[in-house]
Amino acid sequence: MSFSICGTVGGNIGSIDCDVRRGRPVGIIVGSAVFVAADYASSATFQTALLTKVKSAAGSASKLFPFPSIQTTNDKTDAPKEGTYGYGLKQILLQGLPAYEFIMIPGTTQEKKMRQFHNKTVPVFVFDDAGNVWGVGDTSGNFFGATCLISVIGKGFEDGQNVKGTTVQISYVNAGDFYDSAYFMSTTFSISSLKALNDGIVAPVAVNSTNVFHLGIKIPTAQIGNSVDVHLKYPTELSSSALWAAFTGVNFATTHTLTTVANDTTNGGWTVTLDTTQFGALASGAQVKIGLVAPGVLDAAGVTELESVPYIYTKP
Amino acid sequence: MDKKEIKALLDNNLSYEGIGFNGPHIAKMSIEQLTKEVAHHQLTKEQIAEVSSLAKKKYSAV
Repeated sequence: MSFSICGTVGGNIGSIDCDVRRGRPVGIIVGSAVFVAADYASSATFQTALLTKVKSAAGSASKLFPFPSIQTTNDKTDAPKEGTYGYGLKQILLQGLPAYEFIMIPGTTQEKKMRQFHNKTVPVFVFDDAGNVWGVGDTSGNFFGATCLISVIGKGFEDGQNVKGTTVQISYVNAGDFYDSAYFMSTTFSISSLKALNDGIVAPVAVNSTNVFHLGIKIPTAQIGNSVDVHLKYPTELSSSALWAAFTGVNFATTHTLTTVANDTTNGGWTVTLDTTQFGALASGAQVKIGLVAPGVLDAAGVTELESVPYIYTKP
Repeated sequence: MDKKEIKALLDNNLSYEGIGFNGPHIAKMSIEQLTKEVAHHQLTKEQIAEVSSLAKKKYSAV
């Protein structure tokens, strides 16, 4: 008998009945969110934490961006590099890093936004057809996305021969993330529960009268000169001073009090009135930034899938 | 922003005649100040008095 250290090299490799295996990817979620034990205490808490991070404001370090649903998956992982000894013994010399190509069918407007992630290295969670979200776990109990190089190849013109979509490829930077440190969290979501936000541009629809502003919100589309008017969808919901916010001062760090917000049907927007006294005290050249509150608050008030890009007014 | 903060923010709003008043802010104003402030909304004297009264009742502790 030879000497052996096999007993200390590995661990027990017993099977677990009904153990879960990766399913068919139906969506990917990119971003640097980290979930802690309290977040994944149950499917319900995890789902709440996940949605909160999807609805975070752009610029938030832990924001998650869900991509559109996947229509085709192609395994692009390189085949392992093999070598053979002279007498025929085969050995795997190098294992290919996992890489997957997904075909999605976003519109041109959405595709432009997705292209912003092209050629970036970002943490990626993969959502499979069993509702499991796959990521990476560390020894501290954190759950986060696996680091991937992401490529977003836009859709060209149709050719009438084959289906065509937008190609998103993810390549795992570290095989260990994918094979050895892989963890999942189960959800009762379908991928359509994860809606990405739209940028609504806040801009005047009529000239302001000192502290009384007439503002509209439009979501630009790829059709030049055409945008989606938010006022047509949420005229009354956004007639609320709790859903608007104004800031002034250095780095817009000072809150400017709002007095009222009313539906402005004449101009197709909202009449936003800033506090007369505070506005009057601003010096010439001072700027006021007016926009909607954080997307999570909007969502709680029934204004969904929207984040505002604020309007900045310079006092003459 | 957690759920409690969101709730507090949403509660601090007074909706009247399709106008969203900043409740806690209005509660601190006199009728004269409020009349001047919301002149462009073309509310009647009675409506302004009602808004002021509602705000003071609801947000006087804020």
